[in-house]
Amino acid sequence: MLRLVVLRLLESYFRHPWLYLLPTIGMIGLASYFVLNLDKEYQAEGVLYVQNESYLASLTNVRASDVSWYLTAAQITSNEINELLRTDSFVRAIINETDLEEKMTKGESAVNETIQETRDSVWVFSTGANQVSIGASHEDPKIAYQLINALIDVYMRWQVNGEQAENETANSFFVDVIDLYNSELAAAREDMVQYVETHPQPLRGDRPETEQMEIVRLQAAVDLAASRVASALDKEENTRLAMAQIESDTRQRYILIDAPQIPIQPEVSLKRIALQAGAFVGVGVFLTLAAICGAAILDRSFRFPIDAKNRLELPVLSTLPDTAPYYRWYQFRKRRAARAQEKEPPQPNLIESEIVPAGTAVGSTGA
Amino acid sequence: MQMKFWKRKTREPVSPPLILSKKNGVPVYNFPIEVVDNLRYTITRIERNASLPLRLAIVSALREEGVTYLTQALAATVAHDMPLSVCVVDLNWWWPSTTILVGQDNPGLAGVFTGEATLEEIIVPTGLPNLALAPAGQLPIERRPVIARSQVLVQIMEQLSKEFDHLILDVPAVRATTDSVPLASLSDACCLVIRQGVTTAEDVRLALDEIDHLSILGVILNQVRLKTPRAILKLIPTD
Repeated sequence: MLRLVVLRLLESYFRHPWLYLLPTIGMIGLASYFVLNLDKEYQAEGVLYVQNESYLASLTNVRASDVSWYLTAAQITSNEINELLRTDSFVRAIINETDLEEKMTKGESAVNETIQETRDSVWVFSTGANQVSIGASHEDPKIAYQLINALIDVYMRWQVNGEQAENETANSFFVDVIDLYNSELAAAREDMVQYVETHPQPLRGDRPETEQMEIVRLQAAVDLAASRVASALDKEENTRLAMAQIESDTRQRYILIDAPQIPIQPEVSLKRIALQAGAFVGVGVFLTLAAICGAAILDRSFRFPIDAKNRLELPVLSTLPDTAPYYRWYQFRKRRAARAQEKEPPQPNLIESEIVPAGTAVGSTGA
Repeated sequence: MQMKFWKRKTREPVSPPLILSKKNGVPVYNFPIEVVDNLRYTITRIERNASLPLRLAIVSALREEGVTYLTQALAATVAHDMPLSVCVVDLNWWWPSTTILVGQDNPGLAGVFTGEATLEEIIVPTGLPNLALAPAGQLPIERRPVIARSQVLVQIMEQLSKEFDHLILDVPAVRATTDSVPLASLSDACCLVIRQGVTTAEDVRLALDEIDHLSILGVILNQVRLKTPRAILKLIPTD
């Protein structure tokens, strides 16, 4: 069955090859036209070096290690930026730092268009284990340059803010807790002082055992409250230190190796060329394939012996070739012989010229 | 001496076409060797399973599928290759094969029914001594269904069967007239002609439904013209 399908598709194509290729050729022509008339844009590029872990982080353990064993640091970063670029808030933050901001005040549709335009203008991909290439293209060279800088800045800020937020939460928690613990410590000390004042040391001998036990209990409560305060203070200091270190750590982890420059000459993006041309050619090929398949499906006639075998379940005794070309050739020879005969004196035994092709007879009977 | 840089390929000798001529030797038909070879293959295939039927009808689903041409070519091939007497019986009064083998004054089988001529008188001999032709003639349209189902025609067929070893019947298209079924029923077996790229599967199936009571030897795919390059067809067999 598969053989039959393949044969029918091939026959369908070869019956009118140029007709079927017409959509593809047409689309290639259109693709060439569009590619040649593509608006030239200015491209700016920069390279960011990404470290798995900064020296500061390794010393202070300020940041939990999120390094994957199967993705490089550059891949993680490029994936993260590409994911962020899908969010409107991230793109809006980029736009805020560029001259595109003016467009954002021109209504809902202009905002959406600007966001989409920005999203399409920027690309990020990893170029090695630690290098991330960031590019932007725009009709205005200044905006292309601004877009890259803004992207890097917004991403770094996002990184810092993301980790700062955790520390800020922890810090405010510990500040609240310290106040509570201090009041508990003060209360424990007050209890102790009051007890000692109400139960002074006897003039002779030791305190009674019950007093001694009570004093020990109160002292333990004071010690416990003091240790809790000390621990909370220690943690609060740690969070404050971490907050101070995070920005420095982020700056160390992401180093801009190739700073973007304001582009001087306009270029046509290869990505855009590939996308435009690919889309046109793809549509052309699809139309060609659809036409071939459609013609093969609509053709209900028999084309191959295997057709008759499969559909009728009857043996195919023979396949007789089309004799029309043979008879056309025969008629040509006959006419040529007749012309030659007109020029030369008649020859008595020219039997072949008298032969009537059977095809002519068949055509005349219509059977 | 001028040096030849290339040598022209000499063509292999090709068998001459099968020429069917009048009794006086004037050639009338020539069947290309490709057609004749394929018909020889058909005959071999039929004889491999059983002997060639005494009365073989060539039928088709629709008109203009080449039944008349195929009937004459098959008869000429059998007569040329075998020491058997063969007669082409034209039962197609709807579109009779007015070939130059048959004279204008020959009333054909229609004349036998009307009593205008005898069977012996209408039989047309050909250049091949063992091949003859029984033309259809002009039969009035209202008489055709009657004659197609008449005993007279059965008797004529029996008479012809006595005179010839094989009768090859040229029957009108099954989907063109309802009379083709009784006409095809006069045969022992039939071959279905399908014109490649023209006749649809539905037409052929409907035709087969009408003649399913007959012994169908197989299908002959006619006027085959494949556009797929031979190099590709060599990789994907078509049968």
